Amino acid sequence: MSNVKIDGYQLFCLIVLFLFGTTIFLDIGSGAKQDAWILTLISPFAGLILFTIYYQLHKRFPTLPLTEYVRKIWGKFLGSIISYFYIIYFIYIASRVLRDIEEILINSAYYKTSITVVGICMMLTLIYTVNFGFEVFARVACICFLLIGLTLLIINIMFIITDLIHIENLKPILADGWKPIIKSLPLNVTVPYGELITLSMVFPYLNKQTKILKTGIMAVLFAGIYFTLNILLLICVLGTDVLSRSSFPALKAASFIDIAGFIQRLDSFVIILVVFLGFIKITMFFFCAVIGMNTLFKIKSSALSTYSIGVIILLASIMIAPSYQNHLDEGLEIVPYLLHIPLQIVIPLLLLLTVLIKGRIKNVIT
Amino acid sequence: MKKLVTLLFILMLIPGCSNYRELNQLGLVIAMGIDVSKNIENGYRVTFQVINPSQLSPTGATTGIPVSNYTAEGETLVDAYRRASIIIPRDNDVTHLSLIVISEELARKGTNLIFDAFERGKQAKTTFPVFIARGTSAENVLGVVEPLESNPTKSVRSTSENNQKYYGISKTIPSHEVIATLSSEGKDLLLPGIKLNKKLTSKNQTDNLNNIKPSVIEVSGLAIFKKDKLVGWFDGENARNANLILSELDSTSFSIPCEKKYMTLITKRSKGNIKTLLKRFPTLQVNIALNTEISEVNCNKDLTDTKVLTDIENDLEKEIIRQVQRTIQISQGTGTDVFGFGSSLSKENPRYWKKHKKEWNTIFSKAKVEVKVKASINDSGLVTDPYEPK
Amino acid sequence: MSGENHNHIIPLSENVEENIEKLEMALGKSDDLSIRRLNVSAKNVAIIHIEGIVDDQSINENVISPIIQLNKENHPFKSTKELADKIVQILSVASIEFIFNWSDLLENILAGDTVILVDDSPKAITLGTKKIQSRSITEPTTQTVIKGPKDSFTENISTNISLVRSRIQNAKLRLKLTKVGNVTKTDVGIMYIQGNADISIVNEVMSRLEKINIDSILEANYIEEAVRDNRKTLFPLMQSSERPDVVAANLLEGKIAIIIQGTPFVLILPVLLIQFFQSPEDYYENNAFSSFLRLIRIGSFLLNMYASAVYLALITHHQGLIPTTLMVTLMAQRERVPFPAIIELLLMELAFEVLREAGVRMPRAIGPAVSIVGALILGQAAVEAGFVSAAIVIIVATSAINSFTLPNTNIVNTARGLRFLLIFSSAFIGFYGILLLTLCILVHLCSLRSFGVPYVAPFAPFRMGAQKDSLIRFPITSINMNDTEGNKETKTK
Repeated sequence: MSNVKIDGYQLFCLIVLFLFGTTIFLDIGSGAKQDAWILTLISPFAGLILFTIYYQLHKRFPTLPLTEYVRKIWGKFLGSIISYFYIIYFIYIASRVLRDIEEILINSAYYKTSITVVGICMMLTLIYTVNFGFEVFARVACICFLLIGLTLLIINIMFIITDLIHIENLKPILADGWKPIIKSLPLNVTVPYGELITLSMVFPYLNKQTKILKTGIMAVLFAGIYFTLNILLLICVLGTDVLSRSSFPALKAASFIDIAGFIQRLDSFVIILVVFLGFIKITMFFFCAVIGMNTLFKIKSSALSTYSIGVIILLASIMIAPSYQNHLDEGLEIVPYLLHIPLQIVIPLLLLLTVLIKGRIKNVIT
Repeated sequence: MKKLVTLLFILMLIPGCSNYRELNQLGLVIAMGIDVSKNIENGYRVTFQVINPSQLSPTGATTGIPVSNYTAEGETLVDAYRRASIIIPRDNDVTHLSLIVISEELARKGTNLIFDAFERGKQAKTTFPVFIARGTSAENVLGVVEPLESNPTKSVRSTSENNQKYYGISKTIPSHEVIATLSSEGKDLLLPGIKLNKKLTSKNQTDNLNNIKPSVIEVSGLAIFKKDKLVGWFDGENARNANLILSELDSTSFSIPCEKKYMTLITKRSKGNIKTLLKRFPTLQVNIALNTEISEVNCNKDLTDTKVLTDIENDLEKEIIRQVQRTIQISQGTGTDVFGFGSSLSKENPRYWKKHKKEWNTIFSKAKVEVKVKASINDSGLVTDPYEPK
Repeated sequence: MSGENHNHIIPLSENVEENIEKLEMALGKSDDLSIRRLNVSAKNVAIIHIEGIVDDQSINENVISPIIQLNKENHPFKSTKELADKIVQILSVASIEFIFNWSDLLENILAGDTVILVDDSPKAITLGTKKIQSRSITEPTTQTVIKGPKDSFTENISTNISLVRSRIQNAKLRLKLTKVGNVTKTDVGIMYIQGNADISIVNEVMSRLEKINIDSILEANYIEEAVRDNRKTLFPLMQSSERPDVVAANLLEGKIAIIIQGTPFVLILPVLLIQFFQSPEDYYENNAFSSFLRLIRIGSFLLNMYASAVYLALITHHQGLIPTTLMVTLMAQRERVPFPAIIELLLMELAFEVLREAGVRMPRAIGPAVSIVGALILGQAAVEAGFVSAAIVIIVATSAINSFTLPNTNIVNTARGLRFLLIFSSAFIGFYGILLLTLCILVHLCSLRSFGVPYVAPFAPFRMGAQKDSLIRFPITSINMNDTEGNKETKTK
């Protein structure tokens, strides 16, 4: 995998699609009600700070993935434990996203199919992809970006044509003040922006190292602006009451589209997008887990780790929660505080501080 | 190892075909009629209208009726739907559900959370319209095939749509809007009513098809809901005016008196706008703008004279103001804010709204109403003056 | 093989009769071996060639008659060398070479050269008198256009080279010839334009050609299968064309052409997926119109691949997605059909494949009859008898017609293969299956390389400049030919 090279545009597509992930279908910022769009407008800036931390760390170890430089910075023993945690984290998040997709499918078109079957089908595709390596995946992302962009554009145009947009749904602005916005900010920064921690596993494979920062910033801002437009659209179409009650607002909104009684049920288009974007997101975590495993345990054949991690993700996706409601609760109440914040924010920040202080000490000594 | 895992996965996939259904095993439910159950307390009596595809074959001549109605009772809708399998021979499919009819009796008792099943359900879409069977049961309304349309579902929908195009009593309200209105603050629900114009003369449906004056679907007013309970009706003109206020009117006609006879103007474009002004007490303000066209004159008027036209415009405006005020008074009388004055207030003035939303219905009933109408005549048809019998 | 190596070291005998005897032995006394013995200044001279692959007239006029004339003049020659030199001087043949060993002798005779053996001389004179019977240049049969050049390649390599050379009269057009095939010794030529083509790819092609170890090369596909990058793919990794204008255009874009003796199809490489949707006509018509046609072709390809799978998914898994009126019509049609939808669809697809195969194999005179019987009568009867529904006939026929819009047959076969895979996955789990298989196809496409160039090149990796001639075609003046498609990709490599 060492000779894999990816250019700036591919990185841009990859980051944007990764950020889109499942986020644009789930209810983001519901705590802020009709002001959710303000929230999505602010959170990318917090995301940028995180991205800069990851980038600064990478700049100091340009050839190593996260799981490797942790060991360089904090020593073999502690570093290995932390790397191990990261691998588990990547696997866990991958299975969470897989579960999201399984649920969305089971809840829409496949109400009679078992969740296992849906999961296995996806996993076969994922393993097939991961076997080809990261470079191929980056190219797939590049093509998917064009396809997904086009589909999103069509759906959004349909909303406008069908006259479903009720701008008055946005009023009143900031009726409850800034409190609810600030309250739900951490949740909106960790997912999806904090998940950019995965990038620090793949940075070493990038072609033009100088462009990473610029491309990353552009991608994060682009995603942030799209999220804002998207949530504005959803609020205008659904209204805050329906928005907060539906599990998959984007599906609901798309199902309202009905042009001349012929173009209808566009929610199936949305499901196509869910599968595509979910695929990109899971593959990304999958790759990180495989890279981490290979470097940590010095495994030579990728196939072994790919297949074993694949099976684990699949099984975990089915077993992590007994019901969808449980799954959502875990995602909203436990995962952010127990996993996201420590692993996405605290550890990278501490790592950076250690590196900076070590550098200082060295400077002083010399 | 690779091949083994792949093979294992594929083997596990084999039971996955459970979603596979053949078209000729399907019973397509296109309409549901919901009545009050006779046997189960607080239960529903649901009529499912199922398409009979062999009667709609493009090649063979059709002889029979293209739909069959199956009725079942249950504690909830889904319960009835499942129980209906004792009589429906095919795999029910509600993905093509395109009409819901609720009986007035049930609506008066309260529709409650009747729409939950559709919103929660994984199959049905929520774009189908909802109607109220006025003074009769939903079962009866769905039980008549009229000569012009292939099935009752289609006749309900097309009669309603046609009326919207020409007069504007009825309107099509998709169920997701019903849910949105029920769950939102400051706006009550209006649902279109339908009934049969006369009772079926014979039990045999083909008799109705061969009758030159068949019994057919008739649109009949708009049902006024207070929360989820039906409390009254807008009839004829009032229903039309309600749509005018809500800016949901395609076209309609107004007749105004002239020299003991009448003249008729049809509207080409109309826009209604509501606002709630807050000066100590809320004032309900309605602004309506119309473009009209003179299409029939049964009296002698010099239509070439612009002054005469201005007079007619004024007469029309006065007439509309009178009608709209009457319509709003009906709404105030029942104490239900079907036009969304409250919702408008909550957006313009969230603080006041928060304080007074509990007693809004009483405030609304007593509020002053201001109606402003701007009507203009663009066109007087192909002739200027009416002909004079000499 | 071993005999050949053995021959390689064996020098020619100085006795003509001995040589002839040995030659006859080597060729198994083949009856088309023609030997003309002459006597010049008391020396034995033999003129040897194989009938049918040489220019008889040229041999008679330019070889035999000057030698007889020489004999008549009765020169006194001091040595054999002098005689041989004299013979070389009086022959009016364009190319003359000397050979010294057996393997060259055999090879040259078999290639259509004429060999002159002279007594007491250690070397043989070979004369380039090759003339292979070939048909004349005709209109292309598989890649036709309405407007544009009407010539096509033939089975003769030199004719083919001349067709390309006449289009690109430039000193930078290079040709390298080699022989491939242990038994057939087929002439294979590599053409490229110096400066446009990536020289590392040219070298790569040369080395791959040299490594080919198969007995025979009878058609372009033999080479294609032997040198392509990825053997486990349904997608064509080389383009084959019988149109000289296509080859010339590709050479100008920096591609490399492999011309093979014995087939009118010339291989072009490296190739990109998008090229299979580009017809030469795109450049001979107004660019707006040809862009439209190009999009139509891509749409047709997708329809051809997906139509039946999507239909199956709709009627067996996602009935809710069909508009109600259409749904009722479909239900009415399927009411009497005895087969499950998947069987019905597979039957019709296979029936179509059979019809297509029959159409190709049928003698030309009754070809149309097959299509009439097959398509019209059988289809109509099957629907009326209630064996299949009318909708499925429409779907299969539509997808078939769509396949005919593509200018290149290689990719159509790919679509045929994938179509069946898609049908199975669709029957299994509906749109989800189609979607996942599509993802797999995408991943597979992205993993493919044609001689090092990414197969989906102008899209991934994305090149803005190359978009001017990928999905749509900009005016020719605005396309920088050197900047198109894979070329840039190969240069940055």
